[in-house]
Amino acid sequence: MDAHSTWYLFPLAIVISLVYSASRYELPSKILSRAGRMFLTIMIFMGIVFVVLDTLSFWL
Amino acid sequence: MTSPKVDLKNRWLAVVLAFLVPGAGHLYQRRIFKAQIYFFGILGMFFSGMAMSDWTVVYWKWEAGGNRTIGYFSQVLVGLPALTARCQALRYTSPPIDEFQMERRLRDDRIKGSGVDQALDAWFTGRFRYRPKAESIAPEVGVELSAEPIQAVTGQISWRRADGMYTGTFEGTVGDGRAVSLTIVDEPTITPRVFAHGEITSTELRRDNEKFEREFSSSLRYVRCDVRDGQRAGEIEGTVPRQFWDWFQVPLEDKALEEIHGRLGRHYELAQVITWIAGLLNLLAIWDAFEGPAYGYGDEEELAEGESAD
Repeated sequence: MDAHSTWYLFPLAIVISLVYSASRYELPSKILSRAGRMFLTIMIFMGIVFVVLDTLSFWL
Repeated sequence: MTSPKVDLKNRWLAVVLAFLVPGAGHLYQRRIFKAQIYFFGILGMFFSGMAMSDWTVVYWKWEAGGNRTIGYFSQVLVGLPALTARCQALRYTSPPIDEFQMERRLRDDRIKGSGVDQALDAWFTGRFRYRPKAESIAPEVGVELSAEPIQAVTGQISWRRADGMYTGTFEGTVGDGRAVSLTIVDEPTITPRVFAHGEITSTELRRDNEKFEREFSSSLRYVRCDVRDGQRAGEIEGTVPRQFWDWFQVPLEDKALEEIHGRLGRHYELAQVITWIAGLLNLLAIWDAFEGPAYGYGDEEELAEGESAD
């Protein structure tokens, strides 16, 4: 995946976080706080995966 | 978990509405905030995926040993915006496949006759050329062939098929503004009416120095006709418009898919995945409309703290 395509991750993660959290809770404040937390979790996880893969491919 | 604080009303009706249009079930249940999230989030994602693929990624096709759109089972969870693909698959007029047509179909999607257009009346944009005069076809030795120039042409084209014969006219103007009135003398060649991403490349009337670039379009149909201007024979080649509902979510031919994959590359796959995710997310929304929020209303922790404080 080229660097340009990686940017699609942000809107994707935002929508997935919002919709998933909306299906878990009813209160708007709770939905938004949970969605924000989930978005950060996804970003950190994907960041770790990116760093690991980038490191592994450094010697290729 | 069904929260007593959430009035789900008629939950089966809400499920049907949530399936048909993301967020509609929640709107019916007066859960406005969630309806907005589902509507804009899911549909935004779905249509973004479609736009990324030039509106070609959602369609239904199920050919034995051929193209099978398994991903459609996920896309269709978005409801009406994807259900139309099933209707389009029924309307789809695939090019005829018989022993004689198969090779031609693989080469190009254009078909001649085949009952696709018994009558046509549309605005034509393309090219026109007179055929060489009779005396220049078999010239005397030393006399050069007179090549007729290719001219840009626009105008109204119409034909009708009756008793197996095609009759029609073209009324328009050539590039220098001169009016022409042509009579269609033979069966026209035209891409099918209900078709998506067909090739519209001008193959017959090409200038010598013209670079050959294949062109594809959903909103245009390729047309070629033999015509006559009084005593002089000629031919026209170009395009006529195709209506939105005659190409939107219509099944793609293999050649169209090849072109899209070649041009969009991995963005086409990404667009597919985005539309699949949108459908799967609506599954969560449908379940939420039926059962309510899975973990509860959201104020349980605060209530628990309040109770312990008491």
